[in-house]
Amino acid sequence: MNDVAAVEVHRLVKDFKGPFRGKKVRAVDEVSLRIAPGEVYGLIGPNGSGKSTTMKAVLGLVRPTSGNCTIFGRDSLKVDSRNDVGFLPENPYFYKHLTAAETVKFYGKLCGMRGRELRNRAEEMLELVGLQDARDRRLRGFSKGMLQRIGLAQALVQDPRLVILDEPTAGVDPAGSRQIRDLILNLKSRGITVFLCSHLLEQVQEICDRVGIMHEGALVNEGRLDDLISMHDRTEIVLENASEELLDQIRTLVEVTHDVNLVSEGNPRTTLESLFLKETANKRVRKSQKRLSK
Amino acid sequence: MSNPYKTSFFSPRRVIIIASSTVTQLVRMKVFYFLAPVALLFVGLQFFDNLFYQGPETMVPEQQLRMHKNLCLGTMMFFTSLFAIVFTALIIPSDIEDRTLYTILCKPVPRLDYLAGKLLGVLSVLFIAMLVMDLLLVITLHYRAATVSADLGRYLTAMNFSEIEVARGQAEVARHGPTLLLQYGVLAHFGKACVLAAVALLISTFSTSTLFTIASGFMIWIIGSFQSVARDGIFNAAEYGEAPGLADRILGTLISLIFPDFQLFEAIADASARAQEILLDDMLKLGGLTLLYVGIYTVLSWFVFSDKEF
Amino acid sequence: MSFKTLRNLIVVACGITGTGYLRMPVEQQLTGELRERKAIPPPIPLETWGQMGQTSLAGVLGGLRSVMASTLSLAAQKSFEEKEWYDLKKQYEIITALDPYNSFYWDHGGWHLAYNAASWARTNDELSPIRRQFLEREFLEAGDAFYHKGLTLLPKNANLWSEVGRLWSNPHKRPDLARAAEAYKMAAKYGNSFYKRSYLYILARIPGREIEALDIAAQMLIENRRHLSTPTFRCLLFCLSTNPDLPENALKVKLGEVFVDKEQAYKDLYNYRPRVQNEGYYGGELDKVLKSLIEELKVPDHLNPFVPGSKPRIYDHNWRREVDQPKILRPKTFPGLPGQE
Repeated sequence: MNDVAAVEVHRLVKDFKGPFRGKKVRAVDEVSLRIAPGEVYGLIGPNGSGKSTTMKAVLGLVRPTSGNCTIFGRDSLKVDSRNDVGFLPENPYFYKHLTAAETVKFYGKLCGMRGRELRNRAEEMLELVGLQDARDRRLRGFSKGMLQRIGLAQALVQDPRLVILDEPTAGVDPAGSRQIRDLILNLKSRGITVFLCSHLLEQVQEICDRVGIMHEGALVNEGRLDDLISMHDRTEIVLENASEELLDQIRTLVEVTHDVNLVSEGNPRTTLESLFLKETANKRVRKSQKRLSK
Repeated sequence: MSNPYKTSFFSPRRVIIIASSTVTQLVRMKVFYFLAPVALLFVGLQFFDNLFYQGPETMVPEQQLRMHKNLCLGTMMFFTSLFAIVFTALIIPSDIEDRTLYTILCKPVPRLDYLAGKLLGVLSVLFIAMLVMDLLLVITLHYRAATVSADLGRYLTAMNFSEIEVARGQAEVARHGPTLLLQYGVLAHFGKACVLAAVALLISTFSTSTLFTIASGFMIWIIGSFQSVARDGIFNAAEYGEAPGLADRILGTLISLIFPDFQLFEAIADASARAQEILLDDMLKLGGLTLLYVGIYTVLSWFVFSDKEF
Repeated sequence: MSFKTLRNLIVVACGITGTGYLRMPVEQQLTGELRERKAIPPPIPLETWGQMGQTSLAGVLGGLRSVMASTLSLAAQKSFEEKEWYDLKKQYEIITALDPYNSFYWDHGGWHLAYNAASWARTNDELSPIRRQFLEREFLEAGDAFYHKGLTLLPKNANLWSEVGRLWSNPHKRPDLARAAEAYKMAAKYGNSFYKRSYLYILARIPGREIEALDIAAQMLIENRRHLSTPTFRCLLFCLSTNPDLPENALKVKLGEVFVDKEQAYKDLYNYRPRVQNEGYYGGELDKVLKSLIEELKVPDHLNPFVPGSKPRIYDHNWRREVDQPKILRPKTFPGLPGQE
């Protein structure tokens, strides 16, 4: 495994000037995270939790108040770091006067591609996202789903090592959503790192390897999905043809009993949604307790 | 496999890519449709006699051509200056509002390339428009000059002037026709449009409203037209009778330093319409000043824009 | 204001003013050079700024000086039609301030003042005779001053000089032939032979300058013999050369060298004679030559200028066969000149 993280955010803080009397608003509060190459990382959180700001800091669209972000070891504020990045923004808009093919080629050219390489790559991307039939249509006439797909095509045109997706399936119908999910899994199978934000927790649960949960600017929880959604105070033993009475004796007996198969051992799962709600409720309770104690 | 190439600080190729996208954007917005009424005006002038023209016996037949040139050059100046401000004022805010800018800046595109590309795109569109209007001017002026010259030749011959004098008279008319000198005037107007576009670019990088950018651009256009008066007040105070007071000097200095001098561009264009001699050296200096203005405004725009957050 | 905004403002201000310091002297120098070559008009006088209306001001500040001048000159027509002479004068002051190197506006402004306004003053029954005289004089001088103001900016404009000459040689105004001659001299210096011819005609009307006039006529003849196609030139050349006070080396032309034949000579000199009497042109030995031709050609009494009641003018070259009805003028060819057979 490559030692260099695909994305590394180190104690990121971002303050914005507030609307009244210049009071600052802390959008991101000491967030640190690390995404290994080839991982699919999901960043989830309620509206206003700082996910987009974190993402923008990684992309160099905002300058951190303190802390830093790197992409494959390169400072995200430097233009160089974007050679390896493809970005699909939330509700993407592109130049409506361009056709689908022209759009993909435009972004390809910005990445330094040219000539036949660019033409072939653009065709490949359009085919990948299922828009080859609409290649000569101007984006003005595209539906939301089609715009999402063209967004993916431009994000992938330069064959990046890291793809950042902000709400990739927001507003997309279930069929389109499934297609995008499959595409992300395809990227994962090719070793491309995916960093995504989403409100659709079920989808995040389906595709992500690791997840970070943000709330009020802070990263309140982070880890492998399996670890996060496992319930550690319970153990699950799956047995074939087992009865209740055997539970206590199972561990000592399982090794000597040849007729019983120990299929798996582990903690029962809750859902990500439940965990998310629990974590955010906990934070709210802690905060109100703090206020009361003052 | 990732693209291993290192992003240079400034890439002419990237600038041209963004510029051509901007040109396509403006063309598909049908901005060139304004050329239709302009063409009608230029052609219509062919049929409009100078109100005071009483035939070649007035001895100043080139006055017709001057009026034709003044109106055409004035129209070209007006439209290119107007669109320089408006197009540039619209281009970047529309990218920000549409969030098209995010997808561009998330590619390895330095912000300077983006700004320079946008500016170059607008200037390219203005250049194309100017070229078309110039072509129309040259064609209509050529026909007008030929008619006036023929009239004059007939008149002078009937008045028994010598062939040399007839030729001299016709040469004088030809001097007021479509010559290289006239192109200096066209270039001067284009230079002014370039400076206005660069000014609008700078304002749009910190302005929060397109209307504010356009209004400020117009103000600078107007102030720039009399910046030379303020400068004259300092350098040539004697021409105005008394020496300016301290407050006047400070105000005059500030205006001279801050605002561009558009009077130079306009005066050279006027001189070309009058067939007054303009040296190549003058045009080179004007070109140098244009590059200086455009360069400094672009660099300052980049400075402000490089820190902008989206 | 945040630190970043303040910093940006300072940097932009410094950048702009810094480049301002660099470019200001270059701009001033270039402006000076262009002004010297009259490529740039002089600054608009302060009082003119105050006189400009909003539209003119907007046009000037927008860089449309020449276009505004053209538009205003059309608007000035209204003042002319309504005989608002003082408004017209102000308008032309603005027009010429906007486009000072366009002789057309100086010409027109001067014409309006010296001719139209002056004529109006002279013929206006609503004014007292003294007031009429005073106003006429005022407008004449205003017109002349306007021409001269234009000439300070366009000193080599032959047309403007010619207009000054025409004004002071106009018999219906207050002719001052010496002043007219000086103006025509400048016009002849910078213009074509038309202006030279005008200069010649004026000199021929000023007593004591006949020899100078003959020199001019001789020069013109050497430059272009087609001047002989003009009857007045022929007559002047001939009469000037009959001057008894001519120096030895002066040009002396014979009748046959100037006129095609004696019939043409008689016709031209007959028609020239009233100009000598009424306009002061030089006659020389005109009467003597006419009397000699009358005898030689057996001229009838009705075409004899010395007989009372004779015709005022001979129109037809073939005047011998001329009937009592005057013929309609039409362009004539000149037999003997190249290409005219």
